Amino acid sequence: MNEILSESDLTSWLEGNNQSGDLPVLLHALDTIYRPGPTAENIAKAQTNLHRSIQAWIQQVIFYDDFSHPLVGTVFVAVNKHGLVALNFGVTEEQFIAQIDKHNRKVLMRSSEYTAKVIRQVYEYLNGERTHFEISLDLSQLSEFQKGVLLTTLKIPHGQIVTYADIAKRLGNPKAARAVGQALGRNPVPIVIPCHRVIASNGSLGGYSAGGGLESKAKLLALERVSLV
Amino acid sequence: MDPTLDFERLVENHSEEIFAYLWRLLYNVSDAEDDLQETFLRAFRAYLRLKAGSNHRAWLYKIATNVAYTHLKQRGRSEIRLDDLDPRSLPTQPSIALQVEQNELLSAVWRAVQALPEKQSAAFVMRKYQGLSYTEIADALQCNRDTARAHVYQALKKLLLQFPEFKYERNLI
Repeated sequence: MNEILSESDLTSWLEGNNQSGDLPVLLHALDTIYRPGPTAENIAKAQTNLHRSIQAWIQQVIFYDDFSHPLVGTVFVAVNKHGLVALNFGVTEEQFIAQIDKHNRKVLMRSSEYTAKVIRQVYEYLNGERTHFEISLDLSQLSEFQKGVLLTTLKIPHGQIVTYADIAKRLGNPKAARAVGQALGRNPVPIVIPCHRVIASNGSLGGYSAGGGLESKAKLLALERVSLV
Repeated sequence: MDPTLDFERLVENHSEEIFAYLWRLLYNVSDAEDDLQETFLRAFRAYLRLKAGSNHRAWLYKIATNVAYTHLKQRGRSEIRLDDLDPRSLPTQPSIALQVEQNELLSAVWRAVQALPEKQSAAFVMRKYQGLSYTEIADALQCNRDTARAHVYQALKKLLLQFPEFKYERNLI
């Protein structure tokens, strides 16, 4: 008797209706191998480790969204659970994503909910209805020097300008004006950290790396009614 | 709605069965644990792109199947073994001779399942031991329901044909 079981016998076994001993040894062997599954202890350990990993992944998730404003066009913002991590305009979505996730290692989710607070404040600022931001920032990925430059820049009030050399002086390193310029050139959150309020000592605008370059810098200073003599 | 909270609920509802599924495919606790993490990391990254109304359970099985079979390919056929068979499943105190014979049979069956086409062995484990419907298996393997059912039956028929000499030798197990 070498013929295989009928399809209805197999169905019966598959549906668990035939648990009697009257089955080919193969089916018993399959049950022996597969039925027990992992032990409760192994399941608990695997779930604990998974839970730990997921908490870490959630901390690293970046939520992003965009909005449009007539002054600067489409603005992208990205936040994580700690605060704002990136803002840019004059870029495509792909360029913005590449900026925040250079090595394609992060988990990015489009979310209007998490970004709503930042978007509302930046929109109000661009409308001329807001002069300072109440937004948490996450600058943890930056070097100590760049963080120092950006936090010093953050203190420049709306409608005022300072020079790269002023920032260098405030940091106790008066010769570092060029390095200050470079650090501001890599400002991940322009507008919110107002690097547009920092200009060259000779009164020229200096540089601006966010979308639209110097034209945008001039627009933002005009919005704040800064007149460059 | 916080999408990360939704995801945590998904993990709560399905991590145990996905772990059991991976364990059954890999038959190794630490590999199953690694692949559980990889499955849910991939799921996490893709979660928001999932269409509303999708069957999350089938979707997780789809990812887990891909992760496990990639792992099995990397592991290589030479390493396929059945070295940690759960003692709970074995009859109590078989004779040494019977035990040896039994282990040989079980190892041979295990290797035969591993040698089946991926979709057949995955469909079989999902249907018989994970309790998925043919519709869910079809979603997980991206085929239609009839094909999913055919995978399960083809797996069983192939295995039965490979082990005709063991037919009805019940004392072996």
